[in-house]
Amino acid sequence: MNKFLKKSLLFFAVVVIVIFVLNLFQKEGFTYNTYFASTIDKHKLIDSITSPAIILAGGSNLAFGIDSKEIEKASGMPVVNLGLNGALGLDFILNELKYSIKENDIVFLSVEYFLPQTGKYDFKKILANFYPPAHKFYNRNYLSELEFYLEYDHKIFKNIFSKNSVLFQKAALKTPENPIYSREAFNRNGDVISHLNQPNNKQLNDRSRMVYRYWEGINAINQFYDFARTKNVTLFFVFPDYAASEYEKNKRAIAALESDLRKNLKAEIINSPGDLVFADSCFFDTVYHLNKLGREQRTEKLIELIKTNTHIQSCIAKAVAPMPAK
Amino acid sequence: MLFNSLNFALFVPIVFFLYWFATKGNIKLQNVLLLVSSYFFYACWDYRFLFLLIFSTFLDYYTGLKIYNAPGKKNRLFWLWLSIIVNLGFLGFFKYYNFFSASFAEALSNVGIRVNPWTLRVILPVGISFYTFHGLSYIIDIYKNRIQPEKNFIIYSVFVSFFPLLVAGPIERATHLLPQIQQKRTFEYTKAADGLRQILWGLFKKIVIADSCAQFADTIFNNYPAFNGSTLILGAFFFAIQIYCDFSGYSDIAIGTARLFGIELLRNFAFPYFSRDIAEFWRRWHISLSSWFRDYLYIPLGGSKGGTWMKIRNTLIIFLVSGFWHGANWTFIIWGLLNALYIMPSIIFNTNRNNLDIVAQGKIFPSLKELISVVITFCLTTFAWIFFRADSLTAAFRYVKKIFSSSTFKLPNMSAFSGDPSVYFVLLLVMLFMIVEWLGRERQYAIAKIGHWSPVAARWSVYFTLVGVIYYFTFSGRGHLFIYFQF
Repeated sequence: MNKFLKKSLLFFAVVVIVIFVLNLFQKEGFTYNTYFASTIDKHKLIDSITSPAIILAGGSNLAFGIDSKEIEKASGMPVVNLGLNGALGLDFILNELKYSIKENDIVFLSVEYFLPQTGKYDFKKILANFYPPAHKFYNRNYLSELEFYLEYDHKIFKNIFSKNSVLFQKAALKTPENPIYSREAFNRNGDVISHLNQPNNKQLNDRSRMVYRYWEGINAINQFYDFARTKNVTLFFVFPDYAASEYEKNKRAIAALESDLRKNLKAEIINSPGDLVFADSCFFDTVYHLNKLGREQRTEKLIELIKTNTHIQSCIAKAVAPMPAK
Repeated sequence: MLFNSLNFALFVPIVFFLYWFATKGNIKLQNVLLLVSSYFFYACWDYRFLFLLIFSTFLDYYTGLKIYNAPGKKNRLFWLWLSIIVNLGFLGFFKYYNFFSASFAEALSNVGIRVNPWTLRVILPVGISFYTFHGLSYIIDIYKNRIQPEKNFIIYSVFVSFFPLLVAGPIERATHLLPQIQQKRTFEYTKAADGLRQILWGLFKKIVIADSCAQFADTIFNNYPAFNGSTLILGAFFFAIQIYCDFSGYSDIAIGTARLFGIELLRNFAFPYFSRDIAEFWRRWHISLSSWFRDYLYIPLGGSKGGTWMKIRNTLIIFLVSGFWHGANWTFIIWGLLNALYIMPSIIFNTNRNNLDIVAQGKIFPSLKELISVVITFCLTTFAWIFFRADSLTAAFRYVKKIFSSSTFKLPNMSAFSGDPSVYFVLLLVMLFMIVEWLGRERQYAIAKIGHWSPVAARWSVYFTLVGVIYYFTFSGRGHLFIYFQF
């Protein structure tokens, strides 16, 4: 046993030391893509608005697929698009809302189908590095923290073998940023606009075969709904946009999900999944990310839904009504 | 808790230290520790289904004792069928309820009657197909008087729930595993070192090869209408490599981990892609399941004793059931049927036991005949994998139709292969991997021989290289689950 332990520990120690030493070469220079940094601007905007606002919350389907200015024009209310990335998880999105909503706000929640509750820890951590208050939006745990730092270390390790590595050339090391997924990609309302004049990708990512299961997100949304009511905030649920080919493939699972939502969700659902299904050619790079044409169509559809829904109209009327003098 | 996760990397050493040091070699304490850690391991997936696992364990433990002590054959049969019905009832409910409900609704809609499928909020409990088969083999073996029931509930529970095999096998037999749990285990350096080596090789297969191939296989299968036939052939090739490295990598990690605790698990893969015919392939692929079906279904059905028609019927049944075991989808059933068709000529002409030895045993290169046989078997198997991988039967047939079109004579679309690492690098890795597998095919796993290399520096340099490559590929964001977890 002693022989085994000694050899194993020696082996492990050598591995750790080698990785550590290699990483010393280039501790500096690694940068994360700054897409998540846009959350700073989104929260600046939300903090600056004193009157009730329409808040769009969800994943990247909202970031890429909404023209908030048009909704502002149609509703007469300021609009903030908090949509960023579904991989942050539903809990994060709802917690972010908890810290962001103000009295008489109207929230449209549009999350990707069967969005997991927990989300990716590293995404949350990176986002919180840019915007420290976001630490309150998720549960921190030591194991995930360790995993995060290991992953960070690993990215540095991988860079050693990249073309930009100091081992191969003396060039300054900086991960080139994708202009589509950067902080500058967003407009003032929080919509991504960098992709609008770009050609569609040849293939759409995030295709999947959905397997129906009861979506536990329903309970989480209901809890948020109860919280929102205490703040006089109205929550509406909106099914997300989706590429036609994927919708066709996953119709059965989506129908079962819709049935569960209609039975169990406390918040009002303002559309059906089929309402926001668009041709694949209306999508930019994933089955949720609309291009310019798709974004226009979806915004139009959402405005139509807002205008024809009496509950939303009454909420808007209440929100824009002048405050009684004290 | 995934085998390729940080949680597991922390979990195993903790259990290892407690197992060998805190228990001071007391077998009762060791078994309790194994049980508690196995339940903890399982609860990390979904604690709610732990109760189902415990119930299933208790049911088989109790009915096992009842069968053994029952006074007459009728009573023994009663307890046997009770266990079988309840076990398969749970499996059927969790795994197949939605499939049957939806298929029934679809069938009705075809004749003009529209009903909503009565889908329930059913989540598939991880490992249910595996631990159910564990329990069934135990019960049937008692009924057949092959073993005596285990009286100690802890020991029996460890047999069912031992964490390395709990979620995706190998599917163990009571005759093989129970005696190991009953007996005192002593630490053996060679066994533990071999276990670590096998874990390392399993991680390499999963993280480096399987996950790298998965990115291309996924792109091609998910977007198959956009690609020409030659690209689709490459997609099927990548999936064939992916599923082998994914599942055999999992089995290597499971077997290696068990060895750290002084326990030997059944071998699950024996270099199946070097098989010379389909019958040999099925003796080398997912061995613990194939042999389970042979012993508990094929032989009870009459096996090959009743003449050619009986053999054909029984072979068809086990392949269809095997397909259905994999999942409630017609794609799996067609996959099983295809394999049954492949194997049929050798059943009819009685040549299914022609290749019992290892291909080119004792030689470096195979003969031309062996090489051709291996390539043909690989191509047939890969063709069947298309049905296994496709999202639906329609997609599978369209995929195949495209392969048999003139577009197959065009060069592959390189846009399908944009990824990190590049397709050329992955193909190079796959080639190197296949060479290592070929050279190590006479051992339990490909790099087992390295344990006998000297000097130590030669061995360690291989280990360090493997760790380096695995580390390079870890955290790549691909992070695929093990394919067989869904079964």
